[in-house]
Amino acid sequence: MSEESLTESEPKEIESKAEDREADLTEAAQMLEEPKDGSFLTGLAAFVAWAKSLVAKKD
Amino acid sequence: MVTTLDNKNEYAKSICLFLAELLRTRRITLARSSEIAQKVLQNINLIDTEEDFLRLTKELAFEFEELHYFKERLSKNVHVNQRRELEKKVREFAASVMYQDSKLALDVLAAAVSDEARLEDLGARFPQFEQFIKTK
Repeated sequence: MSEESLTESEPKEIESKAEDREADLTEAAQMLEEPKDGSFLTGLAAFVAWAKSLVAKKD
Repeated sequence: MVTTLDNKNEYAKSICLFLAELLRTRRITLARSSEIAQKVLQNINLIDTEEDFLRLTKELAFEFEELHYFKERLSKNVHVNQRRELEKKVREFAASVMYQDSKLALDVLAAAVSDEARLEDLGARFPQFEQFIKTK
C-alpha cells in the first residue's frame, strides 16, 4: 500500500446517521485507528465483536 | 523481509483507517461498518496480493456503496504500483542487454513507454524479456 492515502473519505456526505451515539462512533474510530496490540487484523476482529455487541444491545 | 502476514495487516490497516474516517464523519453506521469489517475478515485468508485485495474490495463495493471511493483509490494505487514494477523490470532488462543487443533494449523501452503497457503484453511480444522476468 503506497502512494495516495486510502483513508480519505468521500467528499460527499452520504446521510446523517442519527442512530449511533457520538461517543460510540468516536470510540469505534479509535479502536480501528489504534488497535491495542498493534495488529490491525486483531483490531478489526475486536471492533466487529464490540460493534455487534453494542448493536445487539440497542435491538 | 515483507511477509504475507505483514501484507494482510497492511490491507486490514487501510480498511480500518477508511472505516474510522467514515465513522468520525458520520458517513456510516456502526452496524454497517462492522458488517464490512466482518466481510473483510472472512475473506482475509484469500488475500495475498494487492490485486486480490482490490478484487475483494470490488466485490464488497457492490453490497456496500460506502466502499466505492475506497475501491477507486485502491484501484489507482494498484495501477501505480504495477506501473512502477514494470518500469523497474524494463530498466533492469534494458541495462542487461544493451551491450549485446541495443536495438532490443530500445524496442522494449519504447514499448514500455505507453501507460497502458503491461508486463504480460511485453513478455508476449519480446520472448527474451519474458525469459528475463521469469528468472527474476
